[in-house]
Amino acid sequence: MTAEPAGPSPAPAPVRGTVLATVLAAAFPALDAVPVLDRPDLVAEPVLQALRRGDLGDPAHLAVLVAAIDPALADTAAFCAAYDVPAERSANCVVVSGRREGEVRWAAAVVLATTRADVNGAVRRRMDVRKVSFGGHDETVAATAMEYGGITPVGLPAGWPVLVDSAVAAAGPVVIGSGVRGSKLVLDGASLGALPTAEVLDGLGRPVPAAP
Amino acid sequence: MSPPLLLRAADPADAGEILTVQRAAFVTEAQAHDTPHLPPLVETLTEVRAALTDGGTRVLVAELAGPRGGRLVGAARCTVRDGRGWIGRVAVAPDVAGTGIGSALLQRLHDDLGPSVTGFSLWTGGRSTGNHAWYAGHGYLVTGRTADHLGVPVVTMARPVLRGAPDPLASVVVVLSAAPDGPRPDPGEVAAGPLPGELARGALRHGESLRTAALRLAGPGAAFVRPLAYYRTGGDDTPVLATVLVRP
Repeated sequence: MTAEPAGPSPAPAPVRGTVLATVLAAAFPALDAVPVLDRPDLVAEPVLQALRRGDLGDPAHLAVLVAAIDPALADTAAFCAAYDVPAERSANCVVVSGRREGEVRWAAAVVLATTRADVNGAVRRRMDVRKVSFGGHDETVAATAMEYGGITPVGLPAGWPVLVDSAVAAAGPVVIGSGVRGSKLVLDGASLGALPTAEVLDGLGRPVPAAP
Repeated sequence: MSPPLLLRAADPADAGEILTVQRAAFVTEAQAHDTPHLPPLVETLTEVRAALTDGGTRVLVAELAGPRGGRLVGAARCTVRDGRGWIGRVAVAPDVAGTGIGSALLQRLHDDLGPSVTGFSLWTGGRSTGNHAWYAGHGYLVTGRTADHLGVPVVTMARPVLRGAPDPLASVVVVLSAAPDGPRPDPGEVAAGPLPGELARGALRHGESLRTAALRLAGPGAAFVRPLAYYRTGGDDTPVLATVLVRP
C-alpha cells in the first residue's frame, strides 16, 4: 500500500465502493442495506473475517452491503416475497459433502433461487466423489460456524471449492446469506468469482422442476 | 364425541413439544419433495424458542384433553411485517390430522391478526396439492411459484382481508350443502345465483373471515362443516365469495 502524498487539504475519508454500493442498494428498495463493515455485528464471525482479509476485494473499497431481516422470514420463499426480492436476484448457497478414499470432501454451490444446484451431476463430478449429499444440520453448522438457514459462500472453511453458477455471476446485484438468519448480504454476483476457491461454472443450476 | 380442543398462545416451555409435532407433521412433506432438509424439519429447538420470544411472531398451539392431561397436537405461527401476516409452520400431529385442528389454528390467527393486517401470505410445497386445496378452502389464492434454498419447488399463496368498505361489506357469501364429490358451481354461476342446493347467502361483515361468515350463515348444526372450495368472482369493487360446504 502506498502512502498518500501530502497535500494542502486533509485527505477525504475513504468511502467504500460508493457508486456500486448505491447501485446495489437501489436494486432492493425494501431492504435497509448499509455497508457491511459499518455493521459487523450483523454477520457471522467467519464472514466478517473473510471480508476483512479481502476475500471479496480491498476492504477499504468493499462494495458489499448488509441488511437486517426478520429471522422468522428467512426461509427463501418467504424472504423473497416479504422483501420484494425477485428469485432471479436471490442466490442460494448449498453445502454438500461426499467421501473419497475414506476422506470427507466438502464443497459449496451457489445458484439462483430460480434453479436448483445440479448436485448429482456437475457438483459431484467436480468433487470427484461417487455420491454427494446435502450437509446435515449439525455437521454443516459445526464445519462452517454459520447458522443453517444463513449459509453463505463468503467465509467458508479454507480449501472448500465454491462453485458459482455463471448465471449468478452474470446476475448483477444479488442477495445472499450472511452466515446468520437475521441478515442478508447484497453484492454484485460477479464478485463471488473473486473468492479464493471460487470456480464459475455454466449449467450448475438447473431449472426447478415444475410442480405437477 | 371428540375431546375438547384448546387453543392458546404458546409459551417458551412449549418449544420442545412444538418441535416434536412439527417434525412429525412435515415428514409427509419431505417424502413428497424427496428431501429431508425442508426448513420446518431443519429448524432447531433454539430457533423455535426464538420464534416464541420474538415479539413480531404470534405462535398458537392446540391441545387436546387426554386421560393423562393435555396433549399438544398442533401449532401455527404468524409473523407480521409491513402490515402483512406471514403464516408458517402449520403443523398437526399425524394421528389427529384431518380433524379440523389445523383449520382452528389458522382461523384463530386470521381472527386475532386480521384487524391489524392488510392480508395474509404463506408458502407451501409445490407438490403439496393437498395443502393448496386446504389453503384455498381458507381463502388463499396462489400468487407465485418459486423454490426454496435447496431448489425444492414452492408455491406462494395470499389471502386478502376484506374490510375497509362500509359494514356490512359489499361481498356476498354463498353457502352450499353438497356431497363431497357433488357438482361444483363455476364462478359465473356463483355470481349469478341463486344456485341449486344453496343453503344461505349473506353479507361478509367487517373484519370477518370467509370461513367464519360461512359458518355463521350456515347456522346451528353446521359446526362440523368443512369448506371444500373457494371462489372469488365479480369485479374488484364487489367481490362475490363462495364456499362449498359439506355436512358430515
